[in-house]
Amino acid sequence: MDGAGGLLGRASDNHSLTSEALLPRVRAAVNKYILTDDPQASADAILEFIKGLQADDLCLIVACEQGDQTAWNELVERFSATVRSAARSASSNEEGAEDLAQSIWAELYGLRVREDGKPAGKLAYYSGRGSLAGWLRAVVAQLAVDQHRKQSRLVQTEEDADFDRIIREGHDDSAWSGHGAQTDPELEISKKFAGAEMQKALSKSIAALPAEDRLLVKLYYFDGLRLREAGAVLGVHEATASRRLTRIHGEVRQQVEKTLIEEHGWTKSETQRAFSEVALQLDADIEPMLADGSVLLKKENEIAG
Amino acid sequence: MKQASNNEIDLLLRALGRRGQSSARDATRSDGDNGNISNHLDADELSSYAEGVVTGPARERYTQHLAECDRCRGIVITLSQSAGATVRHDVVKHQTGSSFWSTLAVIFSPAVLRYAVPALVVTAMIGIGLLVLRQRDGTSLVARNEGVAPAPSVESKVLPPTQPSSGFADVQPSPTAPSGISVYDSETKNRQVLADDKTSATKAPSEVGSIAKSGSDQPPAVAEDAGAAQPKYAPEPQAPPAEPGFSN
Repeated sequence: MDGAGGLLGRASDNHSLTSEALLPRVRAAVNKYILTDDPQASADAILEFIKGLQADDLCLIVACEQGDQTAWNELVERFSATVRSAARSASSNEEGAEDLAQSIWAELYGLRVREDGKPAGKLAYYSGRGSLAGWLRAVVAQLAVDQHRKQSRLVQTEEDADFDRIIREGHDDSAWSGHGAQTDPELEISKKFAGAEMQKALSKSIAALPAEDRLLVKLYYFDGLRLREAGAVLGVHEATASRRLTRIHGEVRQQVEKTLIEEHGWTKSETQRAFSEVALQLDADIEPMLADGSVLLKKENEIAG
Repeated sequence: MKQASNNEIDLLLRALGRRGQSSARDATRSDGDNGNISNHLDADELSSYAEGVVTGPARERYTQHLAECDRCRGIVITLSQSAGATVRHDVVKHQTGSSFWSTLAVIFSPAVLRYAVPALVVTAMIGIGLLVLRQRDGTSLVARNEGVAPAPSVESKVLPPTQPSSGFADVQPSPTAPSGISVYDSETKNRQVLADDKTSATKAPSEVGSIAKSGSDQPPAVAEDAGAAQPKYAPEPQAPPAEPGFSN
């Protein structure tokens, strides 16, 4: 109750809310972000958490949820540009963006009615932990992803099917087995087998990485982000991300070698030779495609020192 | 060697990433949620993570989920990039708001002053030197004029020999000039200018005194000009007769 009162005191406009009106929302946020992971959290930790909540944004949302028309007008006025911008980023065309933005306001207000007679909108899920603008962007992004997936499931055009076929053809094990480089079938089979083992060992070593490192690998190699962007997602500087990636390279290499030796019976020299050959083959295969990316990595490493 | 091995791993990871991208795309097209992940992060958790306000065990939990879930990771990437753009926009706005002070701070920063002060000193010295040289040039110009041979001047005037001139009282007629005719060449003119300067210099205190007596607010130069315009032999104005009321 003290925390809710403190929140009301911090808000520049508390929309005539009472502590009682705010209390359930604060309690839900504490449960979600503190007590779920640490049921024995101290009172100081909880108070510190409440101090970090966005008082103005939370009061505005709770007032909207309680049917305050002035608060609704303020919400729409302050954040319609944010919603429109997020919808534009998530949509391929202007018309789709406008539809998405409109549907967001409907989702926020709530098309269904709760037991207490009030609309059951998405507003109930804003905790005040992050900014209201960021939360609205996330709601828009989620809705856009869901709509896109629904459409993808319903309408898979012939072009999509062709695209899938091309993707599948392009992703056999050729990249790992020296596709086109060898004509000896026995040697090719052997290399393919070796490539498959290496790929398995590589996937296993990535899975064994700590969550932060694994996320960095996913952001950089799977999502194609630059080091600066990946660092921004993780909340670290580009140089830190670069150092972390270099360390990950070493750890992954060690882990792959260990897996190949211990689980697949490879010798040390075989692993080193396999690394060189596979890397050489990959280099030759993907050099035209990744020339920019390799240069970019070098530059980023130089910048990061 | 270490760099080479890192490059090999880098290439392998890139290849794995390409395969991962396509399998994720396949998953998106088939069931939508790349694998068995069903409990996605909600909008509040995603935005809080992207803004870096989630800490402790909750952050660890979300990071683990994001490392596996392409859908949530994609949303966090979008939010993170939007947040970055917003922060940059705010920084730019803030910098624009305090541009006057930031400009001053830049101007008076030690790095700028280190070069600006010596440059200013050198510039000032050059300026003073030029001024001194110019003044010297002006003096030598007068001296050169003195050396010019006397010649009939266009500005020659005929003055009555008996009538004292107000401005040229001490001017002697040129020896080459006919008697009774005073011809002023450049030499006499220059001398006259000097004489005028002396006269004005000697006159100044009395005139200042007269100005002070008259209580005029005009600057002395104006009064001097007015005095020069008046003939010297003009009778001084008589003091007004005392009014009957003030006489004893």
